[in-house]
Amino acid sequence: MDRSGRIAFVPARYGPRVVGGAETVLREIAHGLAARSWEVDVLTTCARDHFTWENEFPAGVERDGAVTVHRFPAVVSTPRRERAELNAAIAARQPIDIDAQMRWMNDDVRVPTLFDHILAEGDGYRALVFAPYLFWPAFACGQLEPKRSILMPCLHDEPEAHLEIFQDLFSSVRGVWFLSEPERDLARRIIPGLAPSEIVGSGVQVPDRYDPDHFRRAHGIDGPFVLYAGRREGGKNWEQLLAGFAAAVERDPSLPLSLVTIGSGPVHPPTAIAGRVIDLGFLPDADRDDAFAAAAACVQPSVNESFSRTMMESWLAETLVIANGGGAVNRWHCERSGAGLLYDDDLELEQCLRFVAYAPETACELAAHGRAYALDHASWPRVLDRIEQTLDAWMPAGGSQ
Amino acid sequence: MDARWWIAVRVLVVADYPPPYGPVVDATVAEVRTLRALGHEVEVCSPAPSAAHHHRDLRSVRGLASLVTLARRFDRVLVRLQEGTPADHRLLRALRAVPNCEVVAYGLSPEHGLGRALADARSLVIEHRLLGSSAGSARGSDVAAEREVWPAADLDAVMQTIRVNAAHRRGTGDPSVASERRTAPVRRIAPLALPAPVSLRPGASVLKRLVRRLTAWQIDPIVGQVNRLREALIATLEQGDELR
Repeated sequence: MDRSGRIAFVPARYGPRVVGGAETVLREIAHGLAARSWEVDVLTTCARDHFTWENEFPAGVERDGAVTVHRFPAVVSTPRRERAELNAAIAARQPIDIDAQMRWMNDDVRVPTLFDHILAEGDGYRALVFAPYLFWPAFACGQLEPKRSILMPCLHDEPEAHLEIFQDLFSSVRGVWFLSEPERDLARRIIPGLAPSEIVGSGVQVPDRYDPDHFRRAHGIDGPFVLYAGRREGGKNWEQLLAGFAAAVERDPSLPLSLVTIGSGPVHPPTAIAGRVIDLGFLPDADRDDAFAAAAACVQPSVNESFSRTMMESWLAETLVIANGGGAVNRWHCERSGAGLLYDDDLELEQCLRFVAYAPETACELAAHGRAYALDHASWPRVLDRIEQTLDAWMPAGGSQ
Repeated sequence: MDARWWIAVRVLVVADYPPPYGPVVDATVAEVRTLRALGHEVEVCSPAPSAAHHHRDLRSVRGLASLVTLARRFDRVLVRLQEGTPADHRLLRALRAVPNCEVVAYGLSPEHGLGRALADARSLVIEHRLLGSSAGSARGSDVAAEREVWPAADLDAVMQTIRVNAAHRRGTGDPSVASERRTAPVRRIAPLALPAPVSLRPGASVLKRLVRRLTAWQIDPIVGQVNRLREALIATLEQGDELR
């Protein structure tokens, strides 16, 4: 394997306390390749939060372990009023013309200095990897050096994915990395002329040990609980999960479960269940792993997943997963692992919760299958092997010198 | 979940009633007991003299007319039929005049006159059950009963139990594989709900709650109607097998 030449990863956000599956995966890949002696740069913004896009990190160059990070200021120069109006139209799947789609893309955060950097320096990289597809850096910069560009879209079946403006991005790049088979199948359905692609998958770090008792003592949590780990926002069906949990408790007030949640975003539980919802906010990695191990089950209500790290993290901790059956990736993993329950509505969610609460030993027996599945399907060494093979095949060494 | 069962209602059960006993009669008695335990006011009408509150001849014009008059005094009418129930197709015709009526047929073969009539009766909520299936799993079932019936550590068996229990809560009985597949895309669309009137900005939450309160008279009926349409669509799709 010829590991010469620089690789640039281009996420919209990067750094500590940046919450997001795509951002986390990209960071892991960058560091994984750097550990294999690749020369790795990260080209990103100074922002941490994808709602405010406030520049929290200083612009310039810094080191993050073996990775060189170049930060460029995020620019929000409009009130984003048109963006908000077009967001509503897109969410309602109303047809909007391509000019409006372009205005929608540009009426949000832009990173002009990042664009200029790639314009000037892009041909000095062996490969430029953009993720996710939806943000301006990938959209605007991903088509500057198409022969050196790889797109890792982190695609799911959302209204934005069907916009015409993304067709060229998906078809003009040198290659596309997908995280799962359902994601690739979706892309093939909606992108005619899709560039060559590979399912590289994603990995999760395997903790050396778990200490669920320490987690309970540290946070004062007694009794069984189900865990939600991730962004607490509408796009992840967080509010829907709250409503479903509240309905289950209303039907059975003696249901012996709390709902523990970790991650970013506000938590506004209905008054009736406020005492059962425990918000721990952002936790360090070790604490978070212990939370997975202490939970009776981990709930994945989001249907917008291209891989679902939390499901893998849950199974590594031998914790059962309860997942929204509306997500193709959720179904794909649960059906193959034998360690996940699927629900299609609130009543089925209630039954899943009751199973976990009233048949905990059986739930543990089922969950035990998940660890083997996660070790098999979320192994970073295998993911990095596949990534290196695509780099060798799509961008052989010497092409960028 | 059927919103009509959120509050205590008056229920008329039309069924064979003890004495004598039998598997279907036992199931009906269990259902009556369960509904009363949940706070509903339940009376029973049987086709023959029994421990029921009311008796009506289900094969005579006069008896059926009297049954319809009686049934209209209740919020819900649950009809339980089995082979041997002294009734025929005229009962089903009469029940079309009764709103909120649900018919459960235990083991009625198509050769049975009533079995043929059920196949044609599209205006009623009809469910077929095998003899021996528990009526305790029907709408308003005892919460505690579900806790005990979890299978061993077999994922398919656990998922089947989840779906069956949920279908009983929904009030449509055991789901067939085909009906579950038909209804899943609709059930995955969550009931319409308004976003929480909260904000991180000071004062904005108060303003949002005020706006919510001022517009409730207009918005809430629309939300309610959309959710009723969703439930009706699910129920219609789930009846697809039984109506074929």
